[in-house]
Amino acid sequence: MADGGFAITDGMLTNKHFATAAEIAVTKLAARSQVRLAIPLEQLRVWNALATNLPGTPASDDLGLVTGTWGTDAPYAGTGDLKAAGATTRYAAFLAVLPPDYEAGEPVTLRVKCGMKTTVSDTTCTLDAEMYAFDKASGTIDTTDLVSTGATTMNSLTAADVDFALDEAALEPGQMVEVRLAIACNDGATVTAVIGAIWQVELLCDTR
Amino acid sequence: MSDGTVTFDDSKVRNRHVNASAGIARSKIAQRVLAVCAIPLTDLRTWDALATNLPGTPASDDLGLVTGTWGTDAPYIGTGDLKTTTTTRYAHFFAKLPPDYEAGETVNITLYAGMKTTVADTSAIVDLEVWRIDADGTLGASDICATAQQSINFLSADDYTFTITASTLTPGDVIAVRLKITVTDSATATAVIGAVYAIELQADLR
Repeated sequence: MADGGFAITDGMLTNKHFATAAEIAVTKLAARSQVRLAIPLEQLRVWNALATNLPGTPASDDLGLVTGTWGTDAPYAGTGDLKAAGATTRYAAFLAVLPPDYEAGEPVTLRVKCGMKTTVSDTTCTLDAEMYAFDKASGTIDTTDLVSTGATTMNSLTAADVDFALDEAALEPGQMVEVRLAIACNDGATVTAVIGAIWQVELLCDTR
Repeated sequence: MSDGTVTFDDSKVRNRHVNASAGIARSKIAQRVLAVCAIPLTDLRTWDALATNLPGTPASDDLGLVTGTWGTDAPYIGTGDLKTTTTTRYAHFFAKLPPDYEAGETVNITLYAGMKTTVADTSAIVDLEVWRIDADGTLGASDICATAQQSINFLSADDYTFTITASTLTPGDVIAVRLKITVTDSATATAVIGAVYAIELQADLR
């Protein structure tokens, strides 16, 4: 940068060059792309009774929060054993909030690390997600599902990330969203346990 | 860089001019004024039994977490139907001041609240009590919520802001909050339900 014979060279400026009251706007900082916001698994609730924690044993249409052995097993949200159970879908829901430094309208991704325990299903096992945003202007949720990615297979013994893209156009810092996860498993004749498992849930978003 | 003898145009400094280890002090970054740190409604607990989630159906002196129909209704913290009664119900939550909160700067808690179905024929009010949790097993100074109770007796939900006295607050502090809704209704025929749809901690961050 040259101006009247004066030049600031690359890498020249350090903290001392900025005034104490510089008030540098955060909009001038580089964005942090797809920052990970972990959703602890105990935040998952019964989807149609949000006051209720997930059961320890999955049942009916509810995923369960399975503890395992302390110090040995990783806890997970699971379907329970669905071998030979035919088509079965189980759900969990949670409320999440976008952080104060989320940049309005920038990309948000729901990432779920999931897979099968013990045995894969002989037919299919998929993970799906729905997300709704609370609309303060109307005091209601916006009934448009923000998730644009369809149900995705998780029928593998190797856990992997499943990403769900969202329509983020109307999302703002501090936005509360309601999310429902669904594992749909269809198994006809597997002899050993067929258990869909969610190991980790994250929201990824651009912050500044 | 000399001082007083050289001028250069505005907006000339770019990222590449800033040293990779510049270590620009946070105090030189502009404050995020009243940044919104929302509280998920699922964080609320039974006020006198913090190990217990709110009930799904409000009862006794407890507000409830009402789910409604998935994909249609917004979940809310509600009183249940209090027509022809005078009843106070509560809920509790802990709120964390973020690590980039600027000590002593402004903190508010805003409730987005109103009445469902019908207003009370007398009154419906919301109030907050807030304590700073000390690290020594005691509560801090008495209730640091500086705003008195407010009427929410309107069918149109709106923001109700409570100012928190922030002089003793520092980054990472945890505050304990009790939310109270009191409905006084004597003769309304249809459901009279106080509802809180969203809770936000607003704080100055830097």
